[in-house]
Amino acid sequence: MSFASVESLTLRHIGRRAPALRGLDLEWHQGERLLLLGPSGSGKSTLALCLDGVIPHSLDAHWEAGRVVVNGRDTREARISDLVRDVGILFQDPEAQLVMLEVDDEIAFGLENLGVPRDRMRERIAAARAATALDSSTPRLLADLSGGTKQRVTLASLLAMRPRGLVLDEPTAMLDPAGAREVLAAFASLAADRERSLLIVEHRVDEVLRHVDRVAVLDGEGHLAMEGDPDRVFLGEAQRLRSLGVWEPDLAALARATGAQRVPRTADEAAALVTSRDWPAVDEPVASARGRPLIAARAVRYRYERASRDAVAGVDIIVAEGECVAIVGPNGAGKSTLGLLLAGVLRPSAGEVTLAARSRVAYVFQYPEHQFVASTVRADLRFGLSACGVAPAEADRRATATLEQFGLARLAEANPYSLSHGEKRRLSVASALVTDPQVLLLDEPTFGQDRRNVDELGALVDERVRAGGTVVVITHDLPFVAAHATRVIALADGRVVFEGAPQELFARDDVLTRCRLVLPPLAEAFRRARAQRPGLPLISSRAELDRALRRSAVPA
Amino acid sequence: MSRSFSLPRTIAIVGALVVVVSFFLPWVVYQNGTFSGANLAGALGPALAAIKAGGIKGYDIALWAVPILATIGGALVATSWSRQDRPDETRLRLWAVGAAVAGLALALLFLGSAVLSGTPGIQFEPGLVRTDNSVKATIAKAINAGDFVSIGAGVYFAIAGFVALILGAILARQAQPAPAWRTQDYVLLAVLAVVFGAVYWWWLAPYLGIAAAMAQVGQELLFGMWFVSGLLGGYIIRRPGAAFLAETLAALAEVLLGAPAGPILVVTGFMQAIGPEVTFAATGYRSWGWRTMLVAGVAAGLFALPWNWFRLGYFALDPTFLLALLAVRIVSGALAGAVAKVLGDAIAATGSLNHFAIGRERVREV
Amino acid sequence: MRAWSSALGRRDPVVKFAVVLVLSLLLVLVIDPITPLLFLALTLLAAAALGNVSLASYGRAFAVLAVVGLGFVWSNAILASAPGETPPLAVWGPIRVSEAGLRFGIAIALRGLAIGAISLTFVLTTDPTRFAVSLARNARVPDRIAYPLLAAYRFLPFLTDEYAQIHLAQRVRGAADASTFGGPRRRLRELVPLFATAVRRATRVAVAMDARGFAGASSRTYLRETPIGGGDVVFALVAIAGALALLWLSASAGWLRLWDGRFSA
Repeated sequence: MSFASVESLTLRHIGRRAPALRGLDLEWHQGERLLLLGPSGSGKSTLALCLDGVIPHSLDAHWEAGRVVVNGRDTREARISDLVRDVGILFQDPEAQLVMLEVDDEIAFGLENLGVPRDRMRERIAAARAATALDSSTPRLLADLSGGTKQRVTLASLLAMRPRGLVLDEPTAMLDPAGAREVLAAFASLAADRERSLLIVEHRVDEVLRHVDRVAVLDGEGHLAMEGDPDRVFLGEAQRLRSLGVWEPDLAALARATGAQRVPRTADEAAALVTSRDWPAVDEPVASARGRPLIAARAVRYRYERASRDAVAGVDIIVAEGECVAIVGPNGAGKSTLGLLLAGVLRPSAGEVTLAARSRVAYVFQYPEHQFVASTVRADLRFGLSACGVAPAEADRRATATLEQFGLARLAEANPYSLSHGEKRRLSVASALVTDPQVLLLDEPTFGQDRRNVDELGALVDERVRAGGTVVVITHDLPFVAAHATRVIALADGRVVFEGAPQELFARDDVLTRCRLVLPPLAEAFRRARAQRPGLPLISSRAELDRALRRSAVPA
Repeated sequence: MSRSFSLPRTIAIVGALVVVVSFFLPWVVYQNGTFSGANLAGALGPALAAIKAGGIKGYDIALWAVPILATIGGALVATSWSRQDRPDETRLRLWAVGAAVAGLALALLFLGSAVLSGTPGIQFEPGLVRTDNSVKATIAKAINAGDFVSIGAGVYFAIAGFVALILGAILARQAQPAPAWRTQDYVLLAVLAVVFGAVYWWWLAPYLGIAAAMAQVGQELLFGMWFVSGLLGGYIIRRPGAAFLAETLAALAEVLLGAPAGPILVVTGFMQAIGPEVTFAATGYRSWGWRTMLVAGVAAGLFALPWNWFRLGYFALDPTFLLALLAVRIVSGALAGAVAKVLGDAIAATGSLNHFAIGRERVREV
Repeated sequence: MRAWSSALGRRDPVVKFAVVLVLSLLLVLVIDPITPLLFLALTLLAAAALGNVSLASYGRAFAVLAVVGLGFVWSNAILASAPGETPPLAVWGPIRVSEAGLRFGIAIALRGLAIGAISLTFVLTTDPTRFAVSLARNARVPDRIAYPLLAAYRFLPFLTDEYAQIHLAQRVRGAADASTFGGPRRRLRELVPLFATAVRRATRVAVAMDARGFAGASSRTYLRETPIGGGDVVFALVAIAGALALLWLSASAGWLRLWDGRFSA
């Protein structure tokens, strides 16, 4: 039985020439848990907004063809107040969904809108809190909550409204690993309830796969590319998924490598697969022949104005030529602050940071929008060059060359803000690299990016390191670290708690817990397998897996 | 718009008639006689001579400025309205409303400072004439009118007539039937209000320095800053009431953020919003170019003037100095209009405003 | 936040706001230096005793007001029209300082301080959520205005952080113009991303609100009770009576000067 159906929907956003969705046909069945995937810009969020009636009632768009029927109602004809009773949406930005200042007020917001009498509100609030594990230890003020908890509060607010269907649009995209874990745990408990229909858009596919009945994939043009049973899609159509730039579960690659018929849903299942075959030995992490030190930080401390404690409390670090250093740690550990200190943007309160002669660090901020200084892409690139004192003619030449290199030539005259998320990230990196710095420092570069962009970024980092350049990456993204970093530094409470190769980090449970890091699914699988067969390597990323598979395919 | 007898048209016509009639009613009552606007106009000859001899005083300015601006304003309102098919109708309306507003503001000034009878020790009373000091109005002296007694009914009627005239002229032109306000419009205005409220703290820094050094002149120059929120709100949302809501909410936000001036700031915001709202209304919420924005900025300053007159104690100041302040205020207002337009265009260029009214016009498809 | 549960904090915010508005309007009519000083003292006393507010919180606002007040004192002292009969207090070349002008300037400055203190007391003893809900229920401000205002108020801490980030990011790109005109141009350049991000977030919040049924909510209910009770009425009466009493006191002591009456010197 159908809960919602999308029929030949073609929808174009204001300010865009190309439609976000093109002739889309999709069924969402009653009680089903549906996973929606697609490259960034493929219209997944647009679809979510249509299911709730937000488009067309609250947000304008050019509705060019087709219709959306939810629970028997055509969304264009029904009133939005009826539609929201059926479907609730959880969006990705934890900050931009909250209205009130306290948790209970926020949970009651939807109930107030629906006109639920006050004496009924209390019980609904309590039920919603129970469903999202918000117990009495949760602070009362929203401002005191972490990102993951804020998302849970919004979820509670939606659940209190008792919708028949729930859409979760990339709910963990803007959260750190610990927060993502909280939200996904809440999702898991929701998924147990078969009365409600769930639709989730999520790129951490491994963690949600066990709760999913069906997968639908959109392509970059807004069509439905494929749909069906998860195992069939991930195992049978892997090539196609890769070409679309869609995130697929790492464990699917593992399943394919071991000839399994189904993608493992739990870490133990995955570990069983690992132990079922032999693996070639992985090269020992090369004690990288380190080049000359480019940045040296000695006993560095930093405290922000009016802060009660040091953000960075005594750190000694050397960044040498030809390596990719990853800095990891929980939110508030001082990673960004350390990055700014290393780049020379902030001056340490104590200790010193020395930069090698004739060296420059280019810092790329987490949010590309903050760095844009001009009204066209080309001007933005040129800006950095003029600021370095490069002659105009030479600046033009280099800007044009960089535009080509980063695939931004088509957008040269566009306003930087109108670019897609991935294009903005590329522009911010391009602007940093166009000035030819010795060290490239990236702050959370894979935040909210789709697979293709992350792969491109990874390739860029690898290429740079191979050519003898230096990259420092501040990130939560452990798979990225595993695939591209030569050295990892873990920070907690402003101090270094670990320094070494990524493989070593993954073996250290204590550091992982202290830094609130979660092992990527492959790493977890191999770690468990190693407990049974100590000789196994620790493969922690897709790239390593692929390398290992290639090695074992080569005839001896 | 049809030319039939609608209520707004009626109001405006009645207002215009009232103004004309009031010109013949008693305006000022002196010891030696009662003078109507017409009488005073008739005393032009000797008055001009006396002015050349004795210099201009505050009272003289108000007295002449009110009828002159008012007449111009009325004429333009009448013209713009009778010819509704003209393409530059909007522009005429704009000028008419601007002039009428200026006249109204000055009339209120005149009235207000006249209503304040002498306060011991404080000496600027444009409506008062004291025989024993140098502030004696030149005209009264020239026509040998003696001591000032009171303001006549004529001035009150003139002011009321003006208000009716402006309101009628504006309401007579319906904006296009505008779609209903959506939640985003309200949230945007609220967010802009909060941003401006916060920027207020940032802005406070130069203001402090200049305020201490240049007192009222510096204050006037920076006054424009406070208008930008209403102007920007109106420019983005482009609906009746947007400028008004934006400015008032910004003032409220400032109060809630701990602005030392107190909740009175909300009333000030209210006053500063009337100018832009009136200007935008006069264009039927359709014209959003440089001229509209500059005039709206100036209107904001002018309309706020009567309120500031009381609040900041301007009535105690030297008349020449006051004229200088007025000039600075006009410049500051125009600057505010320009800043609002530039900022609005810059934000629209980022594509963030595609969903709002401003986005309709400026959308560049990507 | 301790202040929110004090005697003043428990009063309905809309009633408090109205009282503050009335008191401010009353003060706007006063133009002598002593009366505002009385109001200031009483306000601070009430705030400390009934509002659980520490006096240090007023420090910053007073610093601001003091500087602005100085400007008023200075300009009124020398620029208020001097009456012919009273000799000026001091003469420095073309500048004449009049006693009346000086008194007036000081009065205006002190008045500003008093109004500021009253308003700040309101802010320090009021819970914003209660204020917004009370605005919606008691003051009949439409929900569609009151709730967005509250949602926007949440943005505040992010705004300051965001601005700091933007400033830093632009500086990193070499946009630190040290020239005099560089300052305002740089400010404008930094404002655009700030506004653009704020606008984007605003749209997202609006969508999230509508997705929970905010738009078109015809009969809304409220979780919080915001009754206007006896305590509020008493508070309003006492405050206004107190203000009038102060005015009377000042008048009988001969200090008071109002705008529209003649109280002999």
